[in-house]
Amino acid sequence: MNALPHRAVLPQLKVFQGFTPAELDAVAKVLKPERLAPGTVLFREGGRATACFIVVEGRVRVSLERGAKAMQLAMLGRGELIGQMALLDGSRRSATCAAAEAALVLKLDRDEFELLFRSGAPFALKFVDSLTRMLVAQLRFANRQLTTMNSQPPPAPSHGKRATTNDLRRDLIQVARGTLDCTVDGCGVDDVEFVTPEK
Amino acid sequence: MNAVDHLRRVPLFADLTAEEMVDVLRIATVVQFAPEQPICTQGKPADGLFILEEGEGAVRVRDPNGRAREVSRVRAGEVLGELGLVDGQARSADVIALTAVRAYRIDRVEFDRMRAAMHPAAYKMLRRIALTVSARLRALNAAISDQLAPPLEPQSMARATTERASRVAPEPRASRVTVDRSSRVNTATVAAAPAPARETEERSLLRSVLARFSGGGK
Repeated sequence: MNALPHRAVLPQLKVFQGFTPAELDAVAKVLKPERLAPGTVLFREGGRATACFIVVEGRVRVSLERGAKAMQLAMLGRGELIGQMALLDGSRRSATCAAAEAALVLKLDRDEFELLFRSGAPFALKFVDSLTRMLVAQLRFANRQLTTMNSQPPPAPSHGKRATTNDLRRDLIQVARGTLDCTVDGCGVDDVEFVTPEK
Repeated sequence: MNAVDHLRRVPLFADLTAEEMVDVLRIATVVQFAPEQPICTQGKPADGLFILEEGEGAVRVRDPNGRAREVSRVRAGEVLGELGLVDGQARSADVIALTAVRAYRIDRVEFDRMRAAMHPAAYKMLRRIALTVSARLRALNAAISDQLAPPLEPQSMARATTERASRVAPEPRASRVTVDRSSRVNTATVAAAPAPARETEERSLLRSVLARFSGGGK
């Protein structure tokens, strides 16, 4: 079989754990590699979602743009998924994603995936299984965080008020990151910053 | 109406053919609960999913201090325990029957068997569960994003920025946005500016996020 160049990386990606070689061959055929120059916008917040992406090389920035300002929510690297919810529900993008450096992503088209799932292609079924598990884990994380945050007693007045305000914001960002339409592994809160996009 | 046609109206089963629904019904059992009886117990491993046929249940979350808070109700036609069916982890809430409850229960082990056999029905159900979970994650993310980075109308952007600057006026250097490429500014630094009055505002922020989230689905 004529191996596609990106076929070799698939077994290393978390989302494809448990896939047979034949299933990975089938996945490789529907994934379209896209090279992104630094700064290339993959999609913007509010846009209609037609695909999901898997980062293979480089880093992709996830941010909320508010006019000239942007709030960075996460930086995604190898093996991380972008837009997996959109693959399922086709709704609008909840954040903007752009290549922070030269990057290689694999694109999975929603319509094409839908057809494959309907036809019962084993890799498509397994992919849905994998996505469902990830989403359930994300929701459980968010639920736990919110329950903990809500159960913490209000701080004593002597405790620095600024510190609590910051803690809350930081916690909320952490929850927001866990609920993004992408997988975020091992990102510290310090990665969050307000930036102004370079024109 | 027979059980097959009846259940196919439940969104979880909406993608199933009648034949697939019959296969799922083979692994389902009918269970009944008296008022006040627990249907699910927070912290116990999930062993299956319930589709309520009759009656009503209260979903209550106990926080680490043991205080219980009702977060929602489940009624006939609704589904309970989707997350547990997927990962088998501990239940995240108590569900208590408020009236006599009759439900279909789908056993997790049996469901996993269908999944391992690559039965399309199992995957169609998983996809539906993923959609429900996505909707909840999106609702929560939107609630938080709106609070942390409120959307700006393009025309009123300049005005809003001025208003925000004046609102945090007590601190002359107050600025939520720092444009400084040389030093990385994390949110802890960025948010250090607000005046003390901001504290209650932040608590209400959390409350509003929680309220919107609870309303976003079960």
